[in-house]
Order: sequence, then C-alpha cells, then structure tokens
Amino acid sequence: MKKPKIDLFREKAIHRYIKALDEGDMEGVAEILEMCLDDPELERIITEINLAYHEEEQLKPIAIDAQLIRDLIRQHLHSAFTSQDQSQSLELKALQAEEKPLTVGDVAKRLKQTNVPLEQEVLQQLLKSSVPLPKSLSIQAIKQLAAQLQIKVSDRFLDIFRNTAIMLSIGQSHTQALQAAREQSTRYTTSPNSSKPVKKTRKMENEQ
Amino acid sequence: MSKRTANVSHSVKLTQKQQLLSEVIEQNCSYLQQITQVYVSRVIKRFGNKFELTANPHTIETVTQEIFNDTVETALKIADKFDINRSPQAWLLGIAANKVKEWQRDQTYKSNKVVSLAELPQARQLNQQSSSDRLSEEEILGLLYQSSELSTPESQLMFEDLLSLVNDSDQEILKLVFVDGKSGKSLAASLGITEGAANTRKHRAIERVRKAYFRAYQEQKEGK
Repeated sequence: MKKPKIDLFREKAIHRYIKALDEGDMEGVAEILEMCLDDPELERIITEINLAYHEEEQLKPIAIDAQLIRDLIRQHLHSAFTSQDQSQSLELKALQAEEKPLTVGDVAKRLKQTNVPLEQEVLQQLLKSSVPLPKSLSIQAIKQLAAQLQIKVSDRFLDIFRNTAIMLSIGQSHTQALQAAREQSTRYTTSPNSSKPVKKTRKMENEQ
Repeated sequence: MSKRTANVSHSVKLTQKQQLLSEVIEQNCSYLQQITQVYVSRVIKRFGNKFELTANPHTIETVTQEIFNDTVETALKIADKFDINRSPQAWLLGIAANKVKEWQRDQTYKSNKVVSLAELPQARQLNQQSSSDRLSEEEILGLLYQSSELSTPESQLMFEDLLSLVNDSDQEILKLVFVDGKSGKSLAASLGITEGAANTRKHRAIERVRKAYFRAYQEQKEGK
C-alpha cells in the first residue's frame, strides 16, 4: 500500500497544538493558531481537534442568547467608534459632504431663515433651485450665476448671497461632521444593520 | 495619496473589517465560545491549584463568558490589524488564547504565587534543565516516519523498538499511522471515532513515544 505524502511541517504543528492544550500552554496554542491564519487545511484539522477536546472535557455547552451576542457586538462597535476612530469617521463624512456641492437653493434657504430684507419673490424662486454653486465664489462668478438663473436682482442682493454662500461652504464640512458624529453615536445602538451580511469584495481584497 | 485621504481610506477599511468580524462572531459564536471554554478548562485543570480554583462547570462557564466578552471587545478595537485574506476564526481564537493566558497570569499574581526575584536564577535553571531534557517534536516525528518508511531490517527493528516503549493501545494507533499510512478521515474510520479525536490520540501516542525514548536514552547514558 502506497503511503500518502506526509507534510511534516503540518504534523509538527498539530503535535505542538495538542501538547500545548494538554499542558494548558496558551502561548503554544496561540502560536499554532497564528499558523492557521494562512493554512486552511491546518485550520480544518485544528477545528476538528478543538471539537474533540470539547467532547472529551465533557463541557456543558454555554447557552447562547443570539440577542445578547448582537448587543455585545453593538456595544463594542460603539465603544470602538466613539474612542480612537471617531475622528477618522468624521473625516470620512466630511469628505463625503465635500463631494455633494452646495446648491443655490441651500443659500436661498439660509437667506430666508435670516430674515434679511431682500427681494422676496426672487428668493422664493431660488428656494427650489438645485443648481450647484460655482467652485469659485468671486463677485464675477456670482454675477454669471445670476445671469444663468435669469434673475434680476440688486448688487446688495448679490453681495449678501455671495457672503452667505461663502459662509455655508466653510461651515458645510463642520456641520455635516457634527451630524455624522450624532448619527454615529446612535447608529450601533438603534440600527439592526449589523445582521446584514458583509461580503468580501474584490475591492476589499485589493486594498490589502 | 494625501494624509486626509489616507485617513479616510483607513477608516473605511476599519469599518469594513469590524463589520466582517462582527458577522463571523455572530455566525460562529457557539463554536468560538466552546473553544474558549476548552482553553479555560485546560488552564484551570492544569494550573487551578496554583490560584486556588477548581475546575467545576460554574467556574469554567463564568470565566469563559468573561474572556469571550473581552475577546470580542479587543477584536473589534484592533480590527485594523486583521488581514481579511486570512482566517477570521483562527484570528479570533488566537485573541481568546492570549486572553486566557493573561487571565492565568493575573490569577497567579493575585494569589501571590509569582516566582520572587530571589528565586529567579533557580527557576531559570529549572526551566533550562526541563527544556534540555526534551527531544524535539520534529526529531521524534522524523524518527518514526523514517524508521517506518525504510524497508531495511535495521529500520524495521528501530520502529519496533520505538513501539515497544508504549502500551498496546498506542501501538495500535501508531501502526495504523506509520505502517498502514492512515491519516485524518481514514484513521478516524479505522478507529471508529471522529477525525479530531483520532488526531488527538495519534499525537498523544507520539508524545508518549518521545518521552519514553528520551527516558530510555537517559538511562542508557547513565549506565542504568
């Protein structure tokens, strides 16, 4: 009978794992688990051994409360986010906010809220506008925008509109970041989205 | 890539990894808890007397739940260190094993049974002695495989000598492995037990050969 080829390296790892378990040597156990990270066959064998030990030790299975586990994960996800990683999360939201440009309607809305005496008819018309603000908020660019929107307003209106647009642009990242922080702090205590499966995408793999 | 973009990219990866690990924990929580329970049980059975703990089911369960909770928390906090191309289960169990080790150290420290500074040289000498008293796993595996594979009368004699060092039950399993070439599932089928139990029996038998072989070698060296 032809003997199968033996992988001595793997055999040695299995031997060391069993020996470490028998001796209560967790350092040895952790060393072999490290090897399992890149060796699916070794991991499969170790999994079988683990289950055999559980049976051999005659351990009573611990009652699993799925909801408790979910709560545990959410609790720790929340703490992970609210500590060292919150600032990074805020930056992510801020960057996303930057990608969504402010519109003429956003500026008109702010002007409406401030109750500055301006041409109300025009302001009302601009409230519904989804035309994005120009990248440059120079006087010339604002005048061109007014022409594009086909509105006839005073220079004072254009000045106030421009100043408000500049203030909104500066404040956008900050405001959205604060909103993101508020969302983030409640997300993992109210939303059941942790049960949604996460698929390992090619993009994720390529990022490694 | 700007520093800010790099931070954002890091944040996205961290979130994805945390969610991936959460999924693995939820789907495998029963297995992960069971194996953490095995680790806790092994440590308490082996070292429990040092920190005055008995291996009763209640103690094992309480410590396991504490360590499992700690493992989940740590895994999610250090999720950025997890490589998604590697096994998440093995990574999580590695954290659990290290947590059990930390718990063991804390218990030993609390019970004031830590080796004092004055005792250190003796302790070191004792450790050195015990490690030099060993024949490595690699050596014994090599010896068993080589002696069983070579068909010369000397190698056959060597293999029989090695087998004679252990009891009948161990001899039976070692013959199945080294003579019949059985492993994994085929070995389990021959013994009528699970693959995990078969591997455990096989490697415990090898370990007994290793110890007995070295004992015999020492006795011969000392002229007994």
